[in-house]
Amino acid sequence: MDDAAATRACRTGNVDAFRHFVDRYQTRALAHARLLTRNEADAADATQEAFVDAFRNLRSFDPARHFYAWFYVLLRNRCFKQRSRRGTRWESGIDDATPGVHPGISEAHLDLWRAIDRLAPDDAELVVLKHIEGWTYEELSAALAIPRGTVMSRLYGARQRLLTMLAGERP
Amino acid sequence: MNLSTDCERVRVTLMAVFDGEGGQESAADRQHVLTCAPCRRWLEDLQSMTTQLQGLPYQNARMDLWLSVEGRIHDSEQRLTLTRQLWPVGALLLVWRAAQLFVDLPVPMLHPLVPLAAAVVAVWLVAGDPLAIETSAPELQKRGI
Repeated sequence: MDDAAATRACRTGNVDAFRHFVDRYQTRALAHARLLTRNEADAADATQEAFVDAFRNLRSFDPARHFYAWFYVLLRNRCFKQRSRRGTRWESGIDDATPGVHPGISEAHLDLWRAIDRLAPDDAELVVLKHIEGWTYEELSAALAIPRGTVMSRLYGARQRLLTMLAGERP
Repeated sequence: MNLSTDCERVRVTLMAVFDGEGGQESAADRQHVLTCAPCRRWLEDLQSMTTQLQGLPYQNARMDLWLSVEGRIHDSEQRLTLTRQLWPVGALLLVWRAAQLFVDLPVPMLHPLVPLAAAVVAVWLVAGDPLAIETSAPELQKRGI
């Protein structure tokens, strides 16, 4: 089943069809939520609530768009609500069981995730959406509700800080 | 954008070109990169970092969210249904109150407790008995009893 077919099925009230979206996007949604909330439990809660929001608002989703780009706005809102509700409870740095990383991940990849995790949430969000998800400036501008010029300057700053961090880790 | 140096201006331009978003860099920018070693190095680092990040995998979710999401969807649907069902009750109570105020009704129907009692009965019927003890197997199983 693809996203369009699942959307059609969900719109008829078929809750089971929504499983397609959860199965397909929960991994990246959890990883992104964790970067925004910096807390495993809050990330799981925000992700679940965002999926419920998505199901309830699926009628407003345009299937011509990419589902995750639409869903990400809901997820982001839930993460911010979660953060403001509970306050910022930063968990200590990334360890070997870091969410967002494969259990059998290479040391090089782990170093990259550690560096991303040390960035501020706004920077980490931009880096991940641009580099890992491959979003365009327009998509970033729409999802983050900021002008394209701001996307560019913030992305430049985030990359600069990540480059500095990675350079600092080199032997 | 508040860029303080020529290097930063050139780097933002190059970054957009590198991302496939900025058209073409100017001859002056190309000349700058040729003569500015830090900017050349920065561009190389950006290319290297981009290559590394593109292959960066996510962890497979350590939890399957579906059961929880499904439960929350059903809960929210139930709340929504309940709200929809209670709207008519609320409207009826408003009509009742308006009738009390503006229409000359028989005395027993004017008692203020009548609408309150009607509301309690309506909620009880729609939401179920709040004092009921769940004894059905699926309910107990769901609660881990």
